[in-house]
Amino acid sequence: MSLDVPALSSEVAKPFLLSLADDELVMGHRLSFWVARGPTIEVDNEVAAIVQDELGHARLWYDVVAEAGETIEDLAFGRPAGQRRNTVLVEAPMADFGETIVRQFLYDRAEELFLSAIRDGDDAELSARAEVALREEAFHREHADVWLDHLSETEESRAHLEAGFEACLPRSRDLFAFPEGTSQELVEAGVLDRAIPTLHTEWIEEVVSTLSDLPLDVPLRTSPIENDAADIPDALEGEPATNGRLGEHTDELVELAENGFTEF
Amino acid sequence: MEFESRREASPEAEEERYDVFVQWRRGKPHEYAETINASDPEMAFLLARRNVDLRSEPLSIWVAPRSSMVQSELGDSTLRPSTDRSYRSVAHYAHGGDYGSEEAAEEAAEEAGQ
Amino acid sequence: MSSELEQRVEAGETLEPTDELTDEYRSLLAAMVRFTANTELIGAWLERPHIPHAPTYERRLAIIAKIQDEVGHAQMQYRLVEDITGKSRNELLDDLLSGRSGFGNAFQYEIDSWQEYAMFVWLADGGAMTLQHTLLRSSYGPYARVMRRICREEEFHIRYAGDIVRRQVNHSEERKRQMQELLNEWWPRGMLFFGHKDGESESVGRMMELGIRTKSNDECRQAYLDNFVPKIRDFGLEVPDPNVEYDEEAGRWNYSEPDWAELERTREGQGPLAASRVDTRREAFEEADWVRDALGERYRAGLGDTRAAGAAGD
Repeated sequence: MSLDVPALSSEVAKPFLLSLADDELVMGHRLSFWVARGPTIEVDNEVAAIVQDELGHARLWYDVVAEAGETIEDLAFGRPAGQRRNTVLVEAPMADFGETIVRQFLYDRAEELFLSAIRDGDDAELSARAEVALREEAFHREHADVWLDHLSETEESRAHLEAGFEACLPRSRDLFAFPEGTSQELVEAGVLDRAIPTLHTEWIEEVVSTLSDLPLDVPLRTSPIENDAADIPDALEGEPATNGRLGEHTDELVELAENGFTEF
Repeated sequence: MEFESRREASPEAEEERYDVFVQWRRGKPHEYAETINASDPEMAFLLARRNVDLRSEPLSIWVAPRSSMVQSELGDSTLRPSTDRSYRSVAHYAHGGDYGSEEAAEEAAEEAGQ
Repeated sequence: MSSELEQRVEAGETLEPTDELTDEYRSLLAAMVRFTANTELIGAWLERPHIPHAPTYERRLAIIAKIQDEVGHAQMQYRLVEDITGKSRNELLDDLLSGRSGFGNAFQYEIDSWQEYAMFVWLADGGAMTLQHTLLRSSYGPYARVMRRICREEEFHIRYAGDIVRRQVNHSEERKRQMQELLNEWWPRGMLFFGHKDGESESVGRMMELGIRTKSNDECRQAYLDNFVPKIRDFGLEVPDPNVEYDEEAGRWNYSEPDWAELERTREGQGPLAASRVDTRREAFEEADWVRDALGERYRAGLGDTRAAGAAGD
């Protein structure tokens, strides 16, 4: 699809948008595990709707970056892992509903921030697409909030959530870890209305704030980070062990790409 | 198979039924759409919005616990007035009005015509 | 002599939950609705493994949407059974998961490839749609109303399935040959969708007298043939039964005697066979006990608040 997107003249725009698309694709794909397999019939319906949202969002961005003759199947299912730019947070197959909710929470908050920065940016086409996705994100936000709250009810369910945070927080380190210079160029090109590190800080604040409202035992570092009063959860400290934004991925994603997304 | 009258959540239940009402279009009333199981109103409202058919893009959704509703019994006689209320209907006035019957009205008309 | 209920049905009256229904009516109705509900849910569970096999992006989205619809259809129909019988939705679900209650014969068989999925869905949804259309005029109001929504959504399922089959058939000669082989395998199963031939089942007869169903098994089979024979030929495939021919004079399709023994086998095996079909789902369900427990705790906590408020004289 050829579109008039001035922002694409910037070298970093395509890899950035591919990141967003790849994020949504893998997240949506992994989440589809729960379709007709949810804890209740109502959840089956809810999850099916969210999966369609995520896959729909991925398509919004794939359509923008597709070269002439490139189909969405080429982009979504055909690229080897090394070319993919999704966060490693979304890569593991899903198996536990608690971990799934935690992953959704951490991931969707980040997505929302990226989308709002694009919506408030200068590129009309990108902004419009971000707006479309954001409308559905409102529901995803509520979904995560309600489920995190409800799954904090028993000792056993809290244990599932805590294990989920333990697994997901370290994998969240690459969410905002884009290559050097990406953020500055995206802001200059008007794709984003604010810098990626700013989004990262906002995200941390939201995560910490949400955690502080939940009766969960998720270790936080006690000393504050540089410019903010917010504490960073231990597991988020430091550079990502594997940075999906640079094309580094887990074996699980490598396998998924190799089989062309034909397994959950 | 055993049949019971409309039941409420049993004491051992872990959830209850919520009825979902949807206003599909501007100018139309809310109508019953479906019933879902949920632990509480917040969860019910979350689930309801993705358990109804959104293809038609409804305007508004109401969710209420079944337990909050009172309903009429089988063959409830209080739903039907038994004494004559025909004076309230338009048809009554087309069929003779105060004359009480179409025949009487026709007779009256004939008399007037003579 | 017709009972009052039968007279009302004959007069074309729609029965509602507020009407006095006979035990017989409710029993037959509940069995019918339960069967269609179970079949939708089983269908959803059987389609799920094929989500990652959908070859295009559109198909991925469509298969997920279809499954979502089916779960919703089951949910709506379980509500009806709940209201008619007093058995909770969760009990009905439990019956299905434990193999205690049955579903259509077509869902007893393995589906091994995307092509086979396509053929199965095409025939099964076509069969379901035929039955659902006859239920649009069911004497039981709530059932007829639920069927209106179901039929609307089923329309997309039919187009979707037909589109997949068309693509497969037009893909290559090899693929077309594969589809014909699959049709050969599934066609006889399709002929059993609507159960035994007319006259064999007393309950079907009674359901018709009571207006619960408006077409008999054989009449449904006729409608199924009306639908599929032209479609099969349009796709350049052959109906795998040389006796399928429309008898102009009699105004009906002729066909080879279906394999009634196979129908019996699928019914007899309903317990163990059905249970094994749902093994994965039952295990998954049990794995999520902790989720439902947490929700249950929240529910009870909510009740506690209400009771406390009540005691305080609110």
